[in-house]
Amino acid sequence: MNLTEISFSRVKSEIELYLKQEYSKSNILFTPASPYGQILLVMENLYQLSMLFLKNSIKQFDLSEANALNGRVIRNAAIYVGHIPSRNISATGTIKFTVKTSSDLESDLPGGRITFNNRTALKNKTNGLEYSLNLGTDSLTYKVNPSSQFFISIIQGKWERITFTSNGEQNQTFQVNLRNNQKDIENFNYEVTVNGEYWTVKKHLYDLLPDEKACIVRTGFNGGIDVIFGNGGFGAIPTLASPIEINYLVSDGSSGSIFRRTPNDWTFTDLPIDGFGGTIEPTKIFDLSIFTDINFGADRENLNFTKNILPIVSNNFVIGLPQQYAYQIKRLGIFSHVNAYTDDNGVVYIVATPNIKLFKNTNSDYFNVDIAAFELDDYEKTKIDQYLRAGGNIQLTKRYVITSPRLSYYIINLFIITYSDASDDSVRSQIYDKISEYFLNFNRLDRVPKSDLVSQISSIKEIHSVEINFISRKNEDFHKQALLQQQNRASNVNNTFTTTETVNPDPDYNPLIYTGLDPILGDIIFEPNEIPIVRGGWYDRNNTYFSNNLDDGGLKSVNIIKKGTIDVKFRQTI
Amino acid sequence: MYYKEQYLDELYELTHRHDDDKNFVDYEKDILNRTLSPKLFENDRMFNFLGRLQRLLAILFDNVNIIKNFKNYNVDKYYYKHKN
Repeated sequence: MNLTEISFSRVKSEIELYLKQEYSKSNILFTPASPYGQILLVMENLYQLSMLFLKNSIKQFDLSEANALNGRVIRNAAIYVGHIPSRNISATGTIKFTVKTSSDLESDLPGGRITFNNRTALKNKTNGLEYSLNLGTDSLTYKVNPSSQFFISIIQGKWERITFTSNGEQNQTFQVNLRNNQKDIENFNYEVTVNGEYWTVKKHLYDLLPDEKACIVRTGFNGGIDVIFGNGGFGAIPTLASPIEINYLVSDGSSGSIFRRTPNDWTFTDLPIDGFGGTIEPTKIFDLSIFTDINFGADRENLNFTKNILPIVSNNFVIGLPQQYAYQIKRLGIFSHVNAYTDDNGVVYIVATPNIKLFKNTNSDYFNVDIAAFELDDYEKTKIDQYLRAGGNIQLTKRYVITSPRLSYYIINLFIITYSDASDDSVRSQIYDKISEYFLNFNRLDRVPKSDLVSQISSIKEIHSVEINFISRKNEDFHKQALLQQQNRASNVNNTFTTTETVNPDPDYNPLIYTGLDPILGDIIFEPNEIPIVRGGWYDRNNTYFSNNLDDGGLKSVNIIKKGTIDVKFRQTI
Repeated sequence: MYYKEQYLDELYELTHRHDDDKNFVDYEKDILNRTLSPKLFENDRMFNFLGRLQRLLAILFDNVNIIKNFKNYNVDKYYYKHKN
């Protein structure tokens, strides 16, 4: 008999068959409705699940398997090569407390002061997520008078705690992870105490000094974090049976960012204390509003990103090369496009475009998202700066500058041949969708090949063939300027009333120059500090206006020119 | 089950006395309780039988865990408190 034929269900059915033959009541006694039938069914299912899991686990060892797109496989492989996959990063911001005009402080706030404890939990009413006060000290007390207002930093997430026991051995490790897949342990906010004493968290075992009260925290193999203690030579060993307490922030990642400024959108889960030591509901006395945006929330590193980033992983946590700056910022997941380059003086220029998807609402697309979404404001730049300093060791003497990309405007002209059964409106909206999706997920660093868009648009089944060309505003401005100069010179010549004189062309002007475009392939070409954007609202060299509104009748940012139709019977179906 | 059996009971108690990680499926105690009808456990004989069966199932899961933990050098070979 072939061994693969032995399966639990087959053995079970043979036993059932045997019982059926032996006992005439077998159909009643051994159905899944009977006790023994139910036990057998449950056993069978559990056994099958174990086998499935076993097969899946064994497949993990082979990354060439199609199944190797499994998140755990990729993440574990990345951890092996020294990369620490980033976990959710909580959104942070500031809320402003202003005394309500209607509140009577004498009766509403006994003692005239209010004390907030660090990590006081509060909830946002609109998104239903938990936030915590981030005071930077154990507690803060404010004297309150009718004109008082104060500002408190908050961070998205809820603080939780877990306790383990030391077994006194070298290199003890403890895993902390969550059962909820949407949530994750925050990337930066955790702390470790041993016997009630805070131990420093460092990045690598070799950073630990002999018997130093310090440990290492890394992203765990099963998600969450792994806390690793030293071996005496590198870091102290927690003594036998001592309690090891790990406090960590459970974060919801990007969903914790709040871009609207709805007033009084908060409820306090933990209550602050008034001047007489009683608890008090702050929302009764204060108006709460968002003072600085609660932003920079990011989800854990996605799978494709982990795969792509592995070649430039910095194992020593030093940020030195431009790629390493880009790596540190890209892993935040809140920038759609990050480019870092260096000049002759060794200054690293970091050009980052916020992930527009996070800023646009679900109904809008690439073409109508606010242009400001492509740029970083000063607050965002400061946050990147803080993040870089927290994320790695910046090489001494290295200077860096964080800038927004310069927007380089383009118009797309599309020439299409459709099948005869296609409706123009449907084709148009599908093309807009494809272009919008392409530029929202934009990840090119120096060139937009025409073929990228051609392949996207060719996948629309109503389209038979497509040709694309781009018009670059930079190019048009360059030639317009030259034409203008020529006209100016011509008018100057005319003013001299000498009709025999001819206008010499500018010897420096070359009409064949293309800026922002590849003259042969027609691709978009852009500098490291630029990002191409498909937007109208400007004139070309012949003073033709391209509108910014896709619904306009004239020329606009995407112009679709239909060159004909092909009978539907010629559509290739294979 | 395998995890605990590596240690003397007293030593296991000593090195886990502060542990409060309860957020996992304790299959050694729970797996059949959670998957079978509670009615079955009302019969004393069945109750005892299922208790023994549960131990056998726990061994099956313990063996699967060895593979699951194979690539994870941060946990014991028989670590069983997986969350996902």
